[in-house]
Amino acid sequence: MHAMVAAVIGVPIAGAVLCLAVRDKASKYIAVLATAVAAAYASAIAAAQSKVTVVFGGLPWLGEGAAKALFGYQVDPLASIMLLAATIIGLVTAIYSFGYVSVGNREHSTSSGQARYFFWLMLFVASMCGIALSPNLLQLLIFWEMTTLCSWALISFYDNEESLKAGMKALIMTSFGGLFFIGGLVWVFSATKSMGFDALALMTPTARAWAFVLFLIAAWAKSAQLPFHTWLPDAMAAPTPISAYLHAASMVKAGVFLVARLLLAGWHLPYDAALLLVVAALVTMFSALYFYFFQSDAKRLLAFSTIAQLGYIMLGLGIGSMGADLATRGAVLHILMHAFAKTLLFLSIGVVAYTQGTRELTKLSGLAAKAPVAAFGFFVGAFALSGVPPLPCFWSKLYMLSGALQLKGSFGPVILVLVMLESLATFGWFLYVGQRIFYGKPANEDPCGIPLSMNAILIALILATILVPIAGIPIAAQIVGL
Amino acid sequence: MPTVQSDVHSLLPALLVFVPTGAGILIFLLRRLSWTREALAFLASLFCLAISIAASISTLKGQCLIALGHQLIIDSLAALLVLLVSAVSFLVVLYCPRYMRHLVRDAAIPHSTTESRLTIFYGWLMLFIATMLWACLSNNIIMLYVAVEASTIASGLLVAFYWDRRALEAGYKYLMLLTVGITFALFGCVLVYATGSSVLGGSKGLLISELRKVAASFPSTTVALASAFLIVGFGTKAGIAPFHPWLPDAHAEAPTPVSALLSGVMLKVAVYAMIRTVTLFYPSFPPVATFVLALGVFTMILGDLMALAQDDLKRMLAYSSVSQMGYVLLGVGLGTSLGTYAGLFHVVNHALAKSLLFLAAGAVMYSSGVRTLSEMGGLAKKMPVTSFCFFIGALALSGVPPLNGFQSKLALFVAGAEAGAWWAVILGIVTSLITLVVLVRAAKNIFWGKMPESISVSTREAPASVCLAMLILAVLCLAIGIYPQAIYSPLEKAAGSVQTIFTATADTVAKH
Repeated sequence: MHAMVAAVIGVPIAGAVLCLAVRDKASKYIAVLATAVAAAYASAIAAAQSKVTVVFGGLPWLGEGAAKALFGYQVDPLASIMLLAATIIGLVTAIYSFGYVSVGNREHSTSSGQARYFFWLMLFVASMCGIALSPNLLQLLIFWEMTTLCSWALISFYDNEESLKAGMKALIMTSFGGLFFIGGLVWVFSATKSMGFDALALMTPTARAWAFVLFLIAAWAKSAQLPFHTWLPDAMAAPTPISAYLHAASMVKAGVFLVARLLLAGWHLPYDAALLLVVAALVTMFSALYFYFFQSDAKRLLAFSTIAQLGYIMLGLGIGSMGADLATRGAVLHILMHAFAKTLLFLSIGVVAYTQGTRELTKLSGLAAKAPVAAFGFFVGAFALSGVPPLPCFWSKLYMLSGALQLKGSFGPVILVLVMLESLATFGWFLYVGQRIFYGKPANEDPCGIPLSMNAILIALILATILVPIAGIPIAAQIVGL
Repeated sequence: MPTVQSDVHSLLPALLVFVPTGAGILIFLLRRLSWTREALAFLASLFCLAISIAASISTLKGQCLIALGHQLIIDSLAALLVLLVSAVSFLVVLYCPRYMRHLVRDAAIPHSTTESRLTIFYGWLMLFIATMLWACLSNNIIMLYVAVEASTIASGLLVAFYWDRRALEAGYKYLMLLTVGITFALFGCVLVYATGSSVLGGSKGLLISELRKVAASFPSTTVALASAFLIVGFGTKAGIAPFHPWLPDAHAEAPTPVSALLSGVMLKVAVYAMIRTVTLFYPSFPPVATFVLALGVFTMILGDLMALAQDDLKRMLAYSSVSQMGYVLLGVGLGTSLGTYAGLFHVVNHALAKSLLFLAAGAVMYSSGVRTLSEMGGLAKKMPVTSFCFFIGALALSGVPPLNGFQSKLALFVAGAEAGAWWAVILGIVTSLITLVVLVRAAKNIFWGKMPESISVSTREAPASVCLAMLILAVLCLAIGIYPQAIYSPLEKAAGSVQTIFTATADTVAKH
């Protein structure tokens, strides 16, 4: 296990360093190779289905408790889910970027800077794996801040006014959230002399609830939940594969991962705090839904859909912490399911932007004939996202709703109705948008040169999206709640 | 836990002071042989670095090196500072040759030739380093004042080096404000000596190591007065708000290698002098610590808010130094051993990161000739190494993992929380976001985006020696961030030799 864990974090880091050393042209091969190795090891870790926690060392000056047990790794089903999402989507992103970050791109022709691009992407993959495997809050914080850095650098990649501004905004807002993380960490440590996820169990219920709220604020900022959601739509200035990775498998998933990690550490969250989690999630979901109808940029629409879907995960975790294990499993499963569906949507829109040079919905139409794979991918993604059976998000939503119905009182049915409404609206709106982009009279007659690598990876991703529940459900089923 | 130290007579402390002094004098004497300047400076600083490493190794073994009859000592705290001063000085000397020659040629200083200016520069630079090392080693409380004041005078001409209106004004302000400020420290030192000698008798009352044993018996009004004088005096030199106004001018107008030394190590020497003297009273008079803490938090916030408003790159970095010194005082002012540890840890990290930032800023100014943030942009393509180093420095100071600033800030916050100073912890955490905004925004303005037309297209990467000095610092920032345990034992020993408010004094032990 040591070797596999070392490989899953170390190989992308080595790849990143190597990317800096070589020229732009070679960097993409290194990136694909490194992410492929990481994905293979991540799958092996997930397949081993083991539950181990290993610690190597600590920070001796912080006293007895921290001297030994601070740095190491923890493998369990939750870590496996996150690892799979981070590495497989990372691999998909790297392969897709092969063609996307090139001179042929009509939206942003890119002739140099590939080495920098793949450096940050590799580091991103490594940091996400680090988050997934962290055995305690401190190590998680370290990788957490590293993902903030990576997303800042990648959002700023195009180096123009808009993207630099968006990058700074993302950096400042998520670092602001990070302050609460540090504050919570310092509080928990000074109160319990431990930085473990289960340290909250040692605090009084009131202190525990407030400490949890600190972490929750950090997670909201990271996962772009209301009221910290504004950085995410602006972050669309990033190259599309990066947006896909940022939304589907990294950055924003780190926030919900933290909440899931804390809640699964075996301590009881006071009801009020759970209620706060649920209500905030519902508010986020419906606000995001409201914003769907005013987006003219396809990627901004997807950004708001990410905000809503992360709201789902928070909702599931909230219901789970009220005592419904099934909902927790659903929420964790949703991390993986949403990753595939959202990547598929982004990469399909990426093909559209690559060939048309624009993402404005009003300027796009009739592309199904020119980019059939992208059209198919978009619809599969949209169906998967809104929960059409037997596609991925159906299963995770099913778990969450069954969990909600297990709760006593009228709470469950209310949530059921709300989730149904949200899913229906999403379904309807995405169908409408897809129909506008891909059907009707073509806006122009320009030929589309889509690189083979982009089409190939889209086809592979469509298949993977259809099949991912088979891998995800057994892992999520092992998650034992509170 | 007081560590048992054995006193060992050694030549090393004396050599540390005399070698750079001798090198400085030789540079002036041999001014006709132009090649000797750089060679002498390089050899002397390399020699100091070697001695400091040797001295640190002996203190790690529990020895305390003394020379000249207890006038100079190297205990573990002094060893840490001496190592820091000589390491940063060495890198600065490594950085200097290409940089200074280019600069002096362009500056066209009136009434002097390039050669004579370079002699002045290297000569005073060596004397400046020697006085800083002396201040770290002095065990005599009056000579501590003298050494700190001497370092002001030695660097005065360096600050005013360009000899134009702005530099002269900055140099004048530097000498006047610091001399006035540091005079307070003299009052404090004399007061401590006068009170101490009545107990210890005669010249023993001059030695800090002796005063330490009897500080608990001082009357509390004397303690209050003396520590106020010492804090104001050495605090002025350390750039503690509200005594900092000299600092931005001096740092901005001095040649960049000197700015790096001023910000990177001279401020630390002043803080060191403060730690040496003020913590004498911690066990018997804890409110002193609270005063230091409050001053530290105030400095931390004010410095960063001022930095936010600067458009001049070097002034911005100078204000950021003010802020970081506030963090150091926050740690020292907690009065606990973890607080002292964290404060010293931050001293090391800030010395590395801030020297790095100043050297990188110097490289930018060297190549592009611009120093105003709003007139810069897009230099990353032209100067990738400088860009990398500047970003590392900026992120390290902002406390972003996996860089060194994160580790020391985390230690500071934990120390604050354990001491119950939550207000300071919360303000410290919030301030680190301001630091991030200040430094990363500056880095973005300089290196990313479009290159303005005012910057020549032929702008190139800085020379290899300049890049090498920066890269060493950047690698150190990264290495300490990833493996902070590496410097645990020297720091722990150094922190252990500082008294905390919980240290049992001879007096209280006797009572029990």
